[in-house]
Amino acid sequence: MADVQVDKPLRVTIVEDLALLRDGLTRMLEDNGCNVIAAVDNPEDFLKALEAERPDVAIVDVRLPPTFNDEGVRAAIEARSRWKGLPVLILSQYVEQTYASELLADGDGGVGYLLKDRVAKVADFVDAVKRVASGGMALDPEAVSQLMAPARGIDGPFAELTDREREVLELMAQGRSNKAIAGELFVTDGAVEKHISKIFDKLDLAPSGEDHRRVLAVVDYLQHGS
Amino acid sequence: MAIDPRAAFDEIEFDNELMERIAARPLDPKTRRETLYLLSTLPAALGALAVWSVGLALAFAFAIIVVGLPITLLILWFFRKCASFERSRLKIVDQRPLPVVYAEEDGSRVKRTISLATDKQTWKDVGWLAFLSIPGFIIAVLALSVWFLAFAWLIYPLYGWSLSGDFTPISWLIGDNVNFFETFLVVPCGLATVVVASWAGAGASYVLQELSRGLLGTSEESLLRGRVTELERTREETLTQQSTEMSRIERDLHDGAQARLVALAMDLGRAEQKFDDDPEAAKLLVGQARDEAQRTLAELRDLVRGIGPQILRDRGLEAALVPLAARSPIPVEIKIDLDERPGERAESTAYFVISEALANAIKHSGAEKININAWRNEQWFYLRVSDNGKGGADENGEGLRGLRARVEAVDGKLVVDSPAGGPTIIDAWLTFK
Repeated sequence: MADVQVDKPLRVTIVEDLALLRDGLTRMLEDNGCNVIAAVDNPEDFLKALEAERPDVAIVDVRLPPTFNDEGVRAAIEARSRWKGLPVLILSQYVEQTYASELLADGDGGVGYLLKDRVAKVADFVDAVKRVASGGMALDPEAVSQLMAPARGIDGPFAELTDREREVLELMAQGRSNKAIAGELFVTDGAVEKHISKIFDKLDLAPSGEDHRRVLAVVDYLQHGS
Repeated sequence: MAIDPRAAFDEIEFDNELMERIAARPLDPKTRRETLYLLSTLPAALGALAVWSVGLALAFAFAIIVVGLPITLLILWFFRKCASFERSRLKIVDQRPLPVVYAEEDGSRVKRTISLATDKQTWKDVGWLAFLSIPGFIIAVLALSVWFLAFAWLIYPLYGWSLSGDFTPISWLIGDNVNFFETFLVVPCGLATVVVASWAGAGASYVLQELSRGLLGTSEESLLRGRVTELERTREETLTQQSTEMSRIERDLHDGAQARLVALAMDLGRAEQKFDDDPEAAKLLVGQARDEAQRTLAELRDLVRGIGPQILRDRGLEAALVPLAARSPIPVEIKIDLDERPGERAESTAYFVISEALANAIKHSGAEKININAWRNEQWFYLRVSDNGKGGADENGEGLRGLRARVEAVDGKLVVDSPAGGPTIIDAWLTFK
């Protein structure tokens, strides 16, 4: 996983329709050394803000005006098609498997999908923002378990994964580093690396940079499962 | 073949009873009403005949020119008025309720006018007036002439001696010329004719009354059909209302309580971060989080109010309304006069209607006093929320429309009277159980 550049403040654009949360997020991120370059409340202004200045990461609320359905997801997909690889972190009160799959579909990485609840653990949340900014993933554990559930017991390459490899894949989807996965599963870093390369082999992912392969592995899984 | 003498006796007894019943008919209070009805039929029939002939003449006269249609509609409208008069006249003999439904009473003016001509009931009304004007008149005249004969014979001694060659029922016995004493022999015949007249009146009145009922009232079948349409409409509205209500609650929770809890969690998270390095800022954030928690509680309380509080289920309407009134910035007087608790659906609807109407009054009326009344009248549960504010409540506004839908969902009615300048009275009635 590429190192996050800590010396330069992370430039963030926020789109969230509720002022309460927009301001809260802004303050929290600025407390933690980020630079919020734009904070808007609707998809149109969001795209304009991106046009004006491309941030390192965009934080997007799922429900935005005018209809408060999934405008946020659509705006994010639109933004990523206009500015390829723009890191986007989606925030939502609920986990919707479809939205996560849609976002991940382009396979470019730099995607996060977190429940709003996660902002309470400030350090973890900021970590997730930084991870997404650097092209990694941050899928909510809730989202991941929902997404993985239907994938169990299916045919194809995923059926060949061992339980342990599946666990590793789930944690990868959450955006954990090898070290963190090792800690979570009480195994050595080396063991995790071995599991991961097994996963890549089984899913037939050609070597092309570790980060990219991590993303592809998860995307494969999600698309299979959804 | 032996005949049981008792059976024969019984038969005679039965006949006597029957005879008595037949003979007592003139004393029956029904007789008075029937006679009155037949009497009133005479001018009514003449009126109907006049309306008919004038109406027909006008319609034909104007049929060729453009005003023919409006004139026809005007005539039909007048026929309807006459029919409604006939309905009240029918009450003389028939107190049973007479349901009548004209199609499409609301809608645009043009639609309403056209419905005059297309409505089946209008033509049934016209039919009755046609029947009344000639056959109805004849029936009434025939029945009444029996009465006339009866009275003529009853008072025969007063004038009979002065007549010569007058026909009496006893002419065959005593000849056409009778002296004063013989005239009294006619009186019993008069009495007998009174009985006949009462029965003739009953028959005539029955024919007129049944025909009138059939034509002036809407048949049970159409009533049921109308009822089904109405129920379908209200059910549809309820379902829509329910789903809008659900999405409203979902929105409220999402943007309200849930968002506040997220903000609160975020504040606490930030406070945790600053706890060691910047305790002052942390303290501020904790305070902010506490306020957020309080606001969340208030919001949840409001939301629950919309759904209906526990106290309503436990203690009933009055107990549930008292705290609402206590919270109102405008003085509220509650008068609830119920001998027992209404049905659950009626009660929760009543609570909803009153609390919404009260909230509206507090928000918009600028009143100095609000009155809440609820009482029972047989199977009906009446509700009234009135205020002495500035009036002008928009009956088609979202708030009142929602209320109406809620009331109609339980087969009730809601009426808003809110002239500009006030006062505003919102009346609703629903089935009590």
